[in-house]
Amino acid sequence: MLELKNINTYYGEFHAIRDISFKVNQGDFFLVVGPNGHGKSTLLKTICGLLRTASGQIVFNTAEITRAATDKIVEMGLVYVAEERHLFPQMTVLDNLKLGAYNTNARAKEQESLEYVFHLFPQLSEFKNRYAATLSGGEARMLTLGRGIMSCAKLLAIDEPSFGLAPILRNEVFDKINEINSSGMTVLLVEQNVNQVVDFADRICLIEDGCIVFDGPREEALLNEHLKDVFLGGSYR
Amino acid sequence: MNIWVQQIIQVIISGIVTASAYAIMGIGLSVIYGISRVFNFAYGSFFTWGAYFAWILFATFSWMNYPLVFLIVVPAMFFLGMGTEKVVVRSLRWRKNWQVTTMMVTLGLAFLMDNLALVIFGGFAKPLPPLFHGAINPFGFTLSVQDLAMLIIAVTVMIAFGLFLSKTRIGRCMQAISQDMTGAEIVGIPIKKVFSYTFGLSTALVGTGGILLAPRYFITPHGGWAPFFRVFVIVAFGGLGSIRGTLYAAFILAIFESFVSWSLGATWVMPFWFLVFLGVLAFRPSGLMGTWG
Repeated sequence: MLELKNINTYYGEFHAIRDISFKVNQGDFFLVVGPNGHGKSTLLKTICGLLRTASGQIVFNTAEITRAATDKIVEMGLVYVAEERHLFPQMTVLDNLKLGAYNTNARAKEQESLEYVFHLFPQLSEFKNRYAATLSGGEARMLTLGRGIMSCAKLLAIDEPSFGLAPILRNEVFDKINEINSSGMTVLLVEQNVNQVVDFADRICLIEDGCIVFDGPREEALLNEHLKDVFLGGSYR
Repeated sequence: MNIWVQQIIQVIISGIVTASAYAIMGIGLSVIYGISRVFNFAYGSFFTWGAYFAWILFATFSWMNYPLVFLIVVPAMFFLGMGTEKVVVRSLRWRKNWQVTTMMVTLGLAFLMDNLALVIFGGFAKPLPPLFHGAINPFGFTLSVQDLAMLIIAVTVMIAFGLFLSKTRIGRCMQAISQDMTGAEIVGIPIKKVFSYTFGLSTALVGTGGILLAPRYFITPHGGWAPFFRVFVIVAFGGLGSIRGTLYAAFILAIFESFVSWSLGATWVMPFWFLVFLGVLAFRPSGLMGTWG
């Protein structure tokens, strides 16, 4: 469904992503792990068109999106859910969700998607008239996920959803992401709290210093010595 | 009624009338920064050109009237603004120091437009016919119908703009971009397109201001700088990017201006604006409702 071929990305002079290739299959829960500042978020931003690749190729559902603009990529169904959330603080929860359904495909299904989001996150329907700025960390995280789903996503690229959340809330968020995945959505998740999410993953990829160190199915990952250190080390920072 | 009270109220009324024209121009300057993060130094020149376009229409067609002028010039200004964004700003955006570069480039554009006006229209001041003749005297105050019409048009434009921002899809996109640009990109809003629209809209607003103010003052090639400077101070005072702040600032400062001009004389008007500007920079650089930065 999503294929990266030899992607290189620079942050100014800094070579953040080095020759990364991988493939995410339809319906997969693809987990990308790795230490802080080693290029995981850069990778997602590159895929979603917020950053430009220096070289390589990104293919999504047979269409090449390497140099496509973010709005075109979103329209195809590849939706980025940012770690920094990027909600619209002076708008209500409902308006934030509705803006999620901006692209033409999503607009047609707005009501349907809204019902699904409220079913998935009942809290959001309670808060729908509150301003996004007044939400707690956990609620805001639910809203970012909801807004991503509203875009009629086929693949959700979720960046560090546990960031800034208490452990109990993290589990809740991960459960929700698993639920979304179980309903058929392909999920590409970047996360540091590995041991809380590893059970859900179909495939795990470890990135260190901008390079792929390991990429394989979960069963294989659990047997890998280097990854064992990662998991036992807890949150791996 | 006491003659002083009557004069003071008269001064306030005149302040409110100019405030309404400043307000729509201020909103235009403010949104362009709030949404597309560009500070447009050619704003005053677009003001002048809006008025010149109106003058051309009046000078060419003897049967021309104001509704038709607005109908022709305002859309023309919109497309001129959109074109300017595409040609001048777009290629610079996101490059190194692009915000400073665009300021300099728009400043250059201002000189180009002003001198083009000087070449085409000459240095002589051009008049526009009055919007309306006559005056009314409610409660013993004098209010020219022209001022009243200006007030009504400006307030209508402001209300329409507010509705546009809150009710239309593109307006909501503009709000989204001003609140979180990356967020807007993530939800799939084509931000480049919205930047162009914003520039067009802002230019249309200042063009409207130009046509509204031209019948009161004359049109000269460099005549846009004085209103631009005032609007610049208003926007800095209200907080660049904040529409509500701009509105408050326009009314507060225009009424003050009108008092200064009445009590100290018109020569003190520009020093007054400079003082306010210095005061803002010294005490509250972010403005009343600041979003500068």
